[in-house]
Amino acid sequence: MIKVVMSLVSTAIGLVLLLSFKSHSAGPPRSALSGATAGTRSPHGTASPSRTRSMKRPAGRSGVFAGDPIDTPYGTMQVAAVITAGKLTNVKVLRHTDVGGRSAQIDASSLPVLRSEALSAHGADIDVVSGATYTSRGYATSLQSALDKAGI
Amino acid sequence: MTGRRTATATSMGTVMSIAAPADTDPEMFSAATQAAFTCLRHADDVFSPFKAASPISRIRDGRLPLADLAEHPDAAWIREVLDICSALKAQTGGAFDAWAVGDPPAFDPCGAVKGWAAEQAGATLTAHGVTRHSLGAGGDVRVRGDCGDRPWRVGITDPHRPGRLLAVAELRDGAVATSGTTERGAHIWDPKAGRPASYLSQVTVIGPSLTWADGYATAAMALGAQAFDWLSALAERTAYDALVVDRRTGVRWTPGMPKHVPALASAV
Repeated sequence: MIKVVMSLVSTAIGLVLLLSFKSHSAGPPRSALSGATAGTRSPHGTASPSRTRSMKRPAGRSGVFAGDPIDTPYGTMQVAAVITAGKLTNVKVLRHTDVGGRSAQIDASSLPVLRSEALSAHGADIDVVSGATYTSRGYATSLQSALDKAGI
Repeated sequence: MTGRRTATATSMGTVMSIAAPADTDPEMFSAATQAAFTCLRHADDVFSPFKAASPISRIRDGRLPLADLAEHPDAAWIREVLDICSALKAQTGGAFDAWAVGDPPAFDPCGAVKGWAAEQAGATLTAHGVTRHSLGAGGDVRVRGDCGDRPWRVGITDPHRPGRLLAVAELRDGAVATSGTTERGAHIWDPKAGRPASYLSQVTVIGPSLTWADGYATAAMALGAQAFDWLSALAERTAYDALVVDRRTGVRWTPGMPKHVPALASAV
């Protein structure tokens, strides 16, 4: 029974994460989450880059961005994304219902992967990639293709 | 990432990538990779439903009755794949059914062939002396030995953030198979719904053999909402662990996964 409740609660947290990220789809957290931090400065280094552009895609922004609280069958839940230098480095649960004193375990099972989502493929020092099967055309632009070329 | 020997070839509509540590003998590597690629091309010739003359196309439309299979030069391979398809159908309660793919339903073992063929190709590399290698079969991976002084590091893609990784697995001997809708859309047939499965974003299975890791990952995609429970039960009775990405519930994994993906354990 506890297992069932736990799985429902982590489901709810997953939903909160999705919803809270979505709610910021036009703002800074989204661009930081999707790693869109490159090319945000004026390309020629000239003065006064487009204000709109720099507002939309802040390079290296840091901060904690809270999502909207949502109601679930287990109470109100709210999370925040921690952005450091434009990368998602942590996700904090600001508010959630404590089911049988197991909140720590909920955090443990929901958060680590979300942290590692910030992992950059190029910084990860990997040898090979596992993912949905690419076509031979899709391979050309794939990370696997870059790794294959990096051999001696 | 640096200091490896690599070789690639196109096969089965995707690209096969082989790597070995830098101290692998270059001539041995060249001969072994050619043999592995020949193995994959032959598997494609036998099992492709897109080639009209392939034994699978002929089984599919009745030109090659199973009763006549014994005389076919590739009978052993065909029987092996048919047995895998039967086992997957039984283990998934029919959610993965190679005999009911498409509309109208037809025999199509594609969901089980690539992992099996890559497993054969990896064994071929070993047989030719390249005992330490990684083989990437268009997103499914088999590794053996090590990559110099450390395990092979296998990046698992993030289905919702193209070009980025969800996690990194570290393996010395084993397989990492991932099924998902990112690259080619919904393409795994759900025979119960009568349409391609699209409930889950991605399923990754890690275990000893790529044949079964790939079969289980594909079957889990077809299982959709029931996949995680099925994979959890699978992990309890076999050496196969899973990581499931569901846009509704986030990312979940079976208890053995942190053995392969250290970040899952250390981040807790």
